[in-house]
Amino acid sequence: MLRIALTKGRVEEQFIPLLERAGIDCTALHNKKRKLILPLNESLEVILVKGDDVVTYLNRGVVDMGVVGSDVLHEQGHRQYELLDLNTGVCQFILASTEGFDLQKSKRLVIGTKYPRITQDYFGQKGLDVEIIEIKGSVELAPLVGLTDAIVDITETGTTLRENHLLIYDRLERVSTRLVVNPLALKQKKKDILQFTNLLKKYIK
Amino acid sequence: MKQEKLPQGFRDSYGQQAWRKSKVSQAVMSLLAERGYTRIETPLVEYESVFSSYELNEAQGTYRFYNGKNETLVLRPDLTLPIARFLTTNAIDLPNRFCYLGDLFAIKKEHAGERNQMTQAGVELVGFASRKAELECLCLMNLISRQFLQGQAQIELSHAELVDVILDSISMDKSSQNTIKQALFNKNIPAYEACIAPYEMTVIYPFLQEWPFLFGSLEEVTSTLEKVALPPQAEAIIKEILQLAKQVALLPDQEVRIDLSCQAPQDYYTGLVFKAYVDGLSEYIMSGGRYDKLLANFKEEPEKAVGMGLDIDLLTSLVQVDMDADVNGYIYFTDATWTDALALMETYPNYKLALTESLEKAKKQAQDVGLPLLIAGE
Repeated sequence: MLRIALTKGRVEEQFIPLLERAGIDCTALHNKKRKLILPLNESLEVILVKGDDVVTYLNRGVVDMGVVGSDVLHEQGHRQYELLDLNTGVCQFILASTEGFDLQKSKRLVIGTKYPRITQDYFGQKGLDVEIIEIKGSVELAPLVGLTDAIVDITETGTTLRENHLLIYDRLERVSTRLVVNPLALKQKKKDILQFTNLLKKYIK
Repeated sequence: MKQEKLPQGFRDSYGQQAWRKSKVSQAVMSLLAERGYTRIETPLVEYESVFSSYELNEAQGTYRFYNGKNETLVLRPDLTLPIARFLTTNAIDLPNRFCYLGDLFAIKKEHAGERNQMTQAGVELVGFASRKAELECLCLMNLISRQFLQGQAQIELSHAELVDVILDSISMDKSSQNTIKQALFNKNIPAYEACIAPYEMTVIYPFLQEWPFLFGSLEEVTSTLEKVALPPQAEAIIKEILQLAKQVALLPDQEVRIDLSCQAPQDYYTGLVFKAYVDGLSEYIMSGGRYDKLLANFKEEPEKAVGMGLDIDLLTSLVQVDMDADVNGYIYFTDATWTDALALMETYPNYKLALTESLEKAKKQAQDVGLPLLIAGE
């Protein structure tokens, strides 16, 4: 039996069609109501959790695999094996700000973000020391009202940025949904896990 | 009421659980004593410099503090490096086999169910160059598995230098080597596949494709290796792993596994690496290997060494320990009957003293647990 922690919401909605293309009956997921533990068949069970919690469940070994965005994985500094890029939930980390923003300004920049680790890594690679302010939502607001000089955030189409007159100054890493596996689960259930991932791999668009 | 709290990542041990851990630790140390190991106990606190040459685990932090003389001290994050310090500062006869039991500390991610204080038992075989030292460690792992885990621990063999040797044999710069190594160790397959794409037309490509999945039973790994061309530089190391696997497979009740693409548990490993896991658990219960550049003797001459550590907390959680207290009854006494009570204790060693103030309370206590009560002086 393989147990997967699946990120609730959009990741879940995009993962179900992939399972179905691979011939896995997802009736239990379609009719889940408020259930959080959903056996799909005799060999596969899905538990629905928030993205940030997928890594916690995996680290503690209570699930074998997880389906979660690479943004969450990178930000949490995870120690799981990343077997597949599902090529869904594709978007881009960007550095954005108002017109006239200068990355090379002599002052210490203040950056707003939901992703302090990714932001720290990005500026660290550039040899720049910045002050990071963690913002939980509507990150675009921060440079508009003068809270920060710029933001590091995720964008899919760039529409929200454009509507708020923010410009993209740099593109960081690509984000997409990944299938990750607990290292010892892979050792203990190698055949089942590789069979499952090889099956999914055939149907990734 | 005072609301004192325990820091995150720490746990109190209480009652049966505390006794279980103590019994398991004693049983492990008795096993090592019977095999002639010399015990070392090093302090919880060391100078930071003892650990600073090695990147112990980048995901973890170390507890640091000052000693009032502008010197940085740490709560030890590792138990092997203090032994390395001990051997360079004390004129100890080598070769020698040492054993230890103690706690180590690491600052891990908060609120994630992690433990920041762990108890580890282990051995260090110092001054032994041959593979016999590895075999002694593997025999110990097998003994521990049989004595405590019904022979359920699977031993996994790998080599700390294999990945570097293979990557050195492929012409690529150090930065590309590090990228491919990280992708391989993390089994980040999409990133790994992108890294090896430039080598598609080379003879080594089929091996590179299989490399992240080259783990499993001896037969499984051997069968895959027969189908691919190996880098010649790696052949000697792989042969060494396979040969050791065959020897380990001869140990009683011992399953053996191989992993040709994993990272050594610590930065200081230089040779064969062995780990043990039990199905259903997400952590290794034992791990160790050879580190020939870590230890030196009193004269600062390098000493070849092999070591192995055992997670006592994890072992305690798995072991069935008979913890029934062997109490058959109570003895009630007063100051006037103390001499009689002592005589009763000699006659009935499994009776314990009733500590209640009155005879009535002693009778009720014994009645509640269904045990007899002896009254001293009667």
